Amino acid sequence: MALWRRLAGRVGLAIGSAARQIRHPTLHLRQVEKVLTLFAAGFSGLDLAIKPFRPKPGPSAYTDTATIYLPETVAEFPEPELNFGLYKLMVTYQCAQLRYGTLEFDGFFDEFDDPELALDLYTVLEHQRVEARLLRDYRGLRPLIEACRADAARKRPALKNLTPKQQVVEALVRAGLHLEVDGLNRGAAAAWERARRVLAQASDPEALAVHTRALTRFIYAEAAALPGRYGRVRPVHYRGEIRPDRVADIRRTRQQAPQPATVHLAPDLGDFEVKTPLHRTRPVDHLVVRPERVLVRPDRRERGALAPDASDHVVIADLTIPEQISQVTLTEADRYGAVLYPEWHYQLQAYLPEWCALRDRPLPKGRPQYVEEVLARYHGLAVTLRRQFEALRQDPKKLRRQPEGEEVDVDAVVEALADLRAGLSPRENWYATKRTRRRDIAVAFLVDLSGSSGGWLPNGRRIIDVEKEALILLCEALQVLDDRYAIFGFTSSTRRQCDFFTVKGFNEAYDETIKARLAGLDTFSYTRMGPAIRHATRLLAALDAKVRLLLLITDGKPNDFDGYTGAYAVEDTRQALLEAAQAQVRTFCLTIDSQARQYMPWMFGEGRYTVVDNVTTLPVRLPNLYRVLTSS
Amino acid sequence: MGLELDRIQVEKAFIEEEPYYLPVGNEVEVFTAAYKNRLPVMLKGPTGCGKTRFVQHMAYRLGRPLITVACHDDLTASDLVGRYLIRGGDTVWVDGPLTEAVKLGAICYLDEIVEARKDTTVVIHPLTDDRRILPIEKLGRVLKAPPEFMLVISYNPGYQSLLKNLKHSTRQRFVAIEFTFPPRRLEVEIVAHESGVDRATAEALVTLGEQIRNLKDKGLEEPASTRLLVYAGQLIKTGVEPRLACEVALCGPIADEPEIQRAIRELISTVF
Repeated sequence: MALWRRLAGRVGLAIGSAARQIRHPTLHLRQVEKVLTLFAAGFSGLDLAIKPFRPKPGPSAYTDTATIYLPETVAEFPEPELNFGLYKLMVTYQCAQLRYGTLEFDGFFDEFDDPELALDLYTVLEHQRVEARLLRDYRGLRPLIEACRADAARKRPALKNLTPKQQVVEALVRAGLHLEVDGLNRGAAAAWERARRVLAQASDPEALAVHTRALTRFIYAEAAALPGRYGRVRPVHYRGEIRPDRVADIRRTRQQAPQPATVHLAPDLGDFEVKTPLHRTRPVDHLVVRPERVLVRPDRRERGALAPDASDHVVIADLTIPEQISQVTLTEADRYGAVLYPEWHYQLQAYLPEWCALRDRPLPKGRPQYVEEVLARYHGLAVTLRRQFEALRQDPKKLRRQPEGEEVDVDAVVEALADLRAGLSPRENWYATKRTRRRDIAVAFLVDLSGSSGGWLPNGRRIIDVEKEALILLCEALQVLDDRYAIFGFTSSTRRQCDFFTVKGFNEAYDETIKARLAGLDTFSYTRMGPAIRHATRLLAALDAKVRLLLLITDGKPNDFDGYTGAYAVEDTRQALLEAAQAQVRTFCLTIDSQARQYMPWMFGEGRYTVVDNVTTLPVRLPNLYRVLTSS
Repeated sequence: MGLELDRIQVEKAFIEEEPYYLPVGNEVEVFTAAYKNRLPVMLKGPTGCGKTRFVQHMAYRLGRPLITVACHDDLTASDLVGRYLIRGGDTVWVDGPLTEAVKLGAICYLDEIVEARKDTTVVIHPLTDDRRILPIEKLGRVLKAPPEFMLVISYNPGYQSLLKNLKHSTRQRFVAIEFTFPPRRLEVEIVAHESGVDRATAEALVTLGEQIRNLKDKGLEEPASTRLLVYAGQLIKTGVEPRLACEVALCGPIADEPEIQRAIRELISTVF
């Protein structure tokens, strides 16, 4: 079959356009999406997602500057490696467009009566420039570009059926693909003659996008004067398209990202009236900040409302406070039976006292067979992990200067001899023994149970399911060690309701009850990290262990819907982590948020977090991470 | 017993030829100033960014012998300070590298200090404050370090084991010089000089290095170091096909996950 396909492919190549009718092996984007995403990140230095789309009429690609869109499948070549090569080249071109300024054309196409004609001209010319630059800077690309160019050339339409305007654009495309240009009608031929001369300028690797825009204006003037309408020509598959509409969409969403509200506080007593330009479209004219909710410095942390004295207030002009912070209050019912934790307000550089109400909540029990099923599915991995963890335990150390042991400690004997010579009485600890050093580690795994962990993965399971599997495998592996560990979950809905779940306490054995709780883990609402970290820290700090570790497992940024977002949430979380460090609790974060690099180095610290891109590898990554973190 | 000693790698020498080093910032001035003021120095940075070479270069510039100890997890205090050995029927005291460095007025470089046992770091404490002394408990002696003696440690903060972190009581005795990978222009020059490849190849190697470093935190824990770029260059220089040279020097050593490896190979086949 494979041979047949290869042969058929060769025949297909030989007979030109008929090649498309022959079925080539199909490469699905999902098979290579991960590699392409990594490749795009490496090549461009940008965080770009890769998503499928259904291009018409033939394969193509484009980017909106945040995501690269590629065809769901590619089957242009008989050779699978060339089909992959086509995907790779598409990604390379889209990245190159981003790096070489191709997409910085604000409003350029509005200049023209026929923006589609201008866009197609700009696309052809700009791709000539991009290709010249890629060929100059990346010699490894040459064979791939040549193969794809030859394939694209075979698939161009005949010139004679096109309108004069289309003929000019298609002639440019053909020339760029090293094809002959003939069969133009008279008007188009004259325009093409003039356009051809500037094509060389477009293919200068030193040129900039601004030069391409000038050339576009020049050729547009020639082509627009020709009779007939303009209909867009097919894109060249490996070079893709330029989509100004999609670029503008993304730019707009970026600009609409919520801006923090600016609140001006006056030093008066009573209610402060403040004008606030609030984010989004919702106009709010006043925000009232009452004295009892004015943020207090830690040294003035009196309970309840402040004395009505202006000097007690922290008054800051141009203060940005998340809008909703003042809208949620703790009632007596909220406080009842809850542990109250402060929250850090970074702009005030002060704690908000007794700000979050945290409660221990019971977990629903899951199906008892769940754990067995997971272990059956991951049987091989479970065995490997167990063996690896055993190696941690058995890491035997030579203990020197022991009163008894299986070998002689030569150093000790020499010293004893020296002492004897010197007339001193030697100590009698002449032996060395191998013994396992006690690890003396206490670790708390703190799992983010926010709603986003309920997100579905391409394989039809949820993030939380994979997290559960990872935790189960970890628990199984930890069976062979003496490390004390606990598993906690957390979620929140405003500061009034910070929920904390104990899946396994430090002193509980890993038994049927724990397994049922693991099986029952589910997702809830939001992610207020501060109080959960503070609570876990408190529990850890109470233990007597040489090493105390708090390992946070999350899928995103700290976030709650009463204004606990953005910098405010990151800063509070960071502060909670600093408190943990003060309490001799070490912290580490395992996150599956691909954007994590933007805030993690600041929040957790460089080298104190790891990003797992492929969630499905969590069952391997989590136990391994634990092993690496705690190996001596 | 001989074995025991061999496990510590002791390089002791006056450096005869100037080791190649291209300063990135003001690290030479800072190091020299620290030396003049008898301050110990901590070199922070990822592996393979030139810390060891920098110390060799500085030892040459300052005209001091350099004693390097590659620390490992079995390194004990007496491995550094010295111990009694049996020679014939007698016991003989043998200085450890640290003691020797103090006596010689050398620069003592403890490479990857976090690898050593915790108690080891305490030995260096009295040497790192204004006392500058080395108590040798077993001899009942205290050595006073001459002005030329200098202690240098290296430390890689990217290290992930939480059990291997430098204690604050140790860290806060050092002047820290931070190392990162050199900026492009300098890195090209370093790779070209060290490996002997032409400029275009060096440029391409550095481009590749930058692209691989873009994958940090996407599955790569330690990115491709300047040292690895030099290795790749050396292989190319001796006639190894560039793609193969890059694969063995820049892909295998830093990545295990198949997808990351594939992505790196695709980057290699783009650049070369």
